[in-house]
Amino acid sequence: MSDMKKLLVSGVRQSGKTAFCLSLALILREQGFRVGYFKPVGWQTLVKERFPSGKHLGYFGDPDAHLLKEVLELEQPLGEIVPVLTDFHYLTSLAGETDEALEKRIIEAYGRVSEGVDVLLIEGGHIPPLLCSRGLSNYHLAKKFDAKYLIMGRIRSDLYVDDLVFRKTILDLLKINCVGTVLNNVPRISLQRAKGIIKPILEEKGLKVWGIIEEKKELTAPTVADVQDLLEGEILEAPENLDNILVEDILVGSMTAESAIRYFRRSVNKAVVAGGDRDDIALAALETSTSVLILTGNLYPDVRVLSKAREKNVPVILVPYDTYTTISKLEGLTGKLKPKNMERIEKLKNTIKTEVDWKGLYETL
Amino acid sequence: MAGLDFLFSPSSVAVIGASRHEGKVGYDVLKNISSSFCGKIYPINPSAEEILGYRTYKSVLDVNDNIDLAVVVVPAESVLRVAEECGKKKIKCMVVITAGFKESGRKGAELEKALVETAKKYNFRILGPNCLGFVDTFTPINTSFATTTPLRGNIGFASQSGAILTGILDWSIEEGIGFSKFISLGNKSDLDETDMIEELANDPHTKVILLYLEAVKDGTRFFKVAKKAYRTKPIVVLKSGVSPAGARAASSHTGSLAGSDKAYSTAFKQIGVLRAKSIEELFDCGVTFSLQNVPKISQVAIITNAGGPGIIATDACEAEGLTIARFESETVERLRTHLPREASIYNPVDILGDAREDRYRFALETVLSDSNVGCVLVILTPQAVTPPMKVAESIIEVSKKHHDKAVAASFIGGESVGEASKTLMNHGIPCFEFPERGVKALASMVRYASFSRIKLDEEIPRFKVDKGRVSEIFTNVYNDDRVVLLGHEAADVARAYGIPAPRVELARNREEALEIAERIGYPVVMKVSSPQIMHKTDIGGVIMNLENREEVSNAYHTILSNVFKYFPQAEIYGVSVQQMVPQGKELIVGMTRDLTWGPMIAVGSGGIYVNLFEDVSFRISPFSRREAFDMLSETKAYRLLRGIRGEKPSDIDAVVDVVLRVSQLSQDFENINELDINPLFVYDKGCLALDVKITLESGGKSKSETQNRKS
Repeated sequence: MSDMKKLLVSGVRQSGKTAFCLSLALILREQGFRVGYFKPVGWQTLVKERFPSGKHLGYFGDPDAHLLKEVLELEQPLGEIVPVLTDFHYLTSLAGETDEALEKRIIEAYGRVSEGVDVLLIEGGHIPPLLCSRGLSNYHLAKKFDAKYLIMGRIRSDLYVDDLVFRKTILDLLKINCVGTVLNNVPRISLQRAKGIIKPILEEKGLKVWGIIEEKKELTAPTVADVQDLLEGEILEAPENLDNILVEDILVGSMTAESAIRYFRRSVNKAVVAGGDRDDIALAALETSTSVLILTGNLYPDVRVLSKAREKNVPVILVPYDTYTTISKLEGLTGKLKPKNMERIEKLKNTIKTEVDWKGLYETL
Repeated sequence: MAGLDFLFSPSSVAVIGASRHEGKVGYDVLKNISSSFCGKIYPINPSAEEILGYRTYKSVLDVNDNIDLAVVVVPAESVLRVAEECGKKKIKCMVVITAGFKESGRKGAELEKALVETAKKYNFRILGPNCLGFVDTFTPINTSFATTTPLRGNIGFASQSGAILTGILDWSIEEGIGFSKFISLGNKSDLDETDMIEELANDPHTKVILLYLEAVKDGTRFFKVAKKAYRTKPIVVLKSGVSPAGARAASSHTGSLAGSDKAYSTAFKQIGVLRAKSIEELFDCGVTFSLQNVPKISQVAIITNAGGPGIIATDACEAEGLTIARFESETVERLRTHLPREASIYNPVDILGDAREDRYRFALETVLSDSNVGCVLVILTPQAVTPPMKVAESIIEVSKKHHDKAVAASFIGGESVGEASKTLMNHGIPCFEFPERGVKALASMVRYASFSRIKLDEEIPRFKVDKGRVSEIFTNVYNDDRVVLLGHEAADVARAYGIPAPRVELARNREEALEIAERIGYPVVMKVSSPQIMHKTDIGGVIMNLENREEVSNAYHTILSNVFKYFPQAEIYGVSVQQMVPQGKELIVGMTRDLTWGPMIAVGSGGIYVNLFEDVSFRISPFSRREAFDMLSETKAYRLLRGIRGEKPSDIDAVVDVVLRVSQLSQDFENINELDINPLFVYDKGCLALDVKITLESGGKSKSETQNRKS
């Protein structure tokens, strides 16, 4: 048990912590290791599920832990994989428990999830300082379990470089063994810069860069299923698998059909939001690369629009909101990994396998 | 097209779904066929023994004879089974009257698809489904369920709307207008308007082809076939969905987005198809072409017994682009000596209110003999002494002697001129209630005559170009998951096709911008490079005339900060640095791939006021050098290029060249959806494409994760 390797994967929101943990777990399993997963401090949201009856129901929980449990087929109950749940108002929800009680819960769960594993991947909090007020931030956790520390990094501007080096500096001061970083979701246009300029600087400052992963829409873009989860509209036309259709752009159609065609042609794999009575806009969208047609105002389209959508394999969702409200709702649209979407998970794993020096990373543990 | 002979002149017909019960479609169809058709008739009905005196069969397979044509009126869900049997029976054509296909939604669409596949499998053709059938008055055969049969005549009419067909049928009988073929196209699952044009063009009984369309199914084929057919006879089309609201109604009605109306107008004009704006115009033209011969001379003479209508008709001629003939001196002289002094002897010829048939006869005879006159419009208003019937008879008699000239009449009035108007129509003179309609009809004849003089098969120029380079650029764009080209990429494409463009390179940072500017030489223009930003100027993304390092350096930061401010979500690839060139005349050359007609090329006044001036002329690609030149000369920009008020003329040939090269590019690369060169600077000598925009078809990238991403 004492030679169990422990890696805490930390990172800001949307840095791909969960995707990395999942992929690394799958890769190491392929190598014959027994891999465990632990998320001491979870972040609870409503996890929705579509039931065969068509009902859309949910429960409060940590969707990441839920995903890992499903895909890795972990035996432990969710309550042990993610013993403490937080949200924006955790001071209230956790008020009844002392710091010691929380810590005890986490330590007990840790004991359970680390049973019989060679490598334990510990996913950090929603944001690194989460629950610092209760002595349970990522830093506290790394210390407590004597885990190696990996930072999932994002690069959107040069300021992110400072952020990474700053965190490395604090880790050094705290004597936490930071093994380095993985730069994730780097836009293609910044790729050369990340490799040629940013990586050398980070490594010079002692932050080993294990991999630079290019942003790939097919791995990160939301799908039509995500759109539907958000809008909960009536599905008028649906091809086989909404989980497989990417949504890379959202356009509003309210012009004449002739202008719409020119406008729609410039965008690929898009969601088009238009009034349900705008058959011409719907048909224009269907002539171009459209992933989903969202018709607003609860206005049913003409049957011919639906048969065209069927012909082109484009799902059609009818929503009761007006176009503005629909767009506002879609602003919260992000791609989420779902247990059902094994294809995407497989691709993700393969990307990380080729783009990240996972062997080298493993050896530092 | 031997297949369509089996449709229009079969030797045997099966009516599948024939019914014993009066009032049912299956009964009406059989009744219409039996009362028109002399060949063999086989009613198919699983339960009846005999209908209308014909022995019935349970299936076409039970008929011990060859069947050429099957008319199907069974319910939609039985059509596939019936089609299968028809296929096995080796029937050549099927008219599917049954509704409940594509027009009714998803299930119907799937049914229709399966029907077409069955037809392909057994190699037979389908008219319909959801159609009224057809009538051929010469075979004769009437497969429709209409209550009447059209009169025999020389107008071939095909309509996408069955209702218009029945309305017109009823009206035509009253008007005495006859048809050679009367065809309901229905859903056009297989046979469409183009097949009908081809058929009607080869039909010796048809003199003019009329079409009512909501959309053309295959623009490219229509273009080719109609262009050829137009040499033999005129084609007049009423295409609805002109206005944005009308287009919306049409797309709801047909379930598919028709190409833009601009593209339709352009294509029709290029082919030489006459476009009617109303049902009335469609048939006014149809009747005129049917009754009169196309005049060899384009000028018009007007004869009237009242001043007012004469002037109205003259105005109408001007509006329709018809030239009022100037008479030869002998004509003027004859009119002057033989008409009363008060008469107007110049065109329009006013023979006064007291004119009787003799004066009409004299005037018409005289102007028809004038070698400047090609068409005559004879106007009559009922005055105290006017004998309309006698005038009509004179017109009929005189015009018979002038076959190469077109004569139309307008007898204004009701009761007193009704009989005379009918007599005119029955004797080959189109007669209209009001003169404007007559003018329009004559104008369409003159237009047809001018179209048919245009040379066919002019050479389409092919330039030597670097196709490989363009493929390479497109592959890179697709690999980068884009469909919109960046400025420097689009300029490279233009250059590969011999379209001169100033040097432009992409700078990804300030240092690169400086390096490029130094290399290509000051002054330079800098533009933001982002696939999301279409109108760069609007958001401060373009700065011109930068003369030194400091300005370039500042411009780089200014552009980026402007863009961040106004378009924060844009993906910015950098800033392109372009050689500054002298101001030229600003033109636009563009291409948009129309859904029906394919690449439509535009040329006109360019710059930022394009949408305001709308001084743009269009052609469907490909076209000859002459057509490219004609296209340019239709614009005001052309007059600008020729030089205004003593200006030096610009290089018009260079512009024509760019238009033709853009056309070739759009032919060579079907994945270019949109292309815009705006502005194209034109100089005394040569021109330069300053800003080129290209959008590709998204086919290079897959929609689903499961598909292969690379094209």
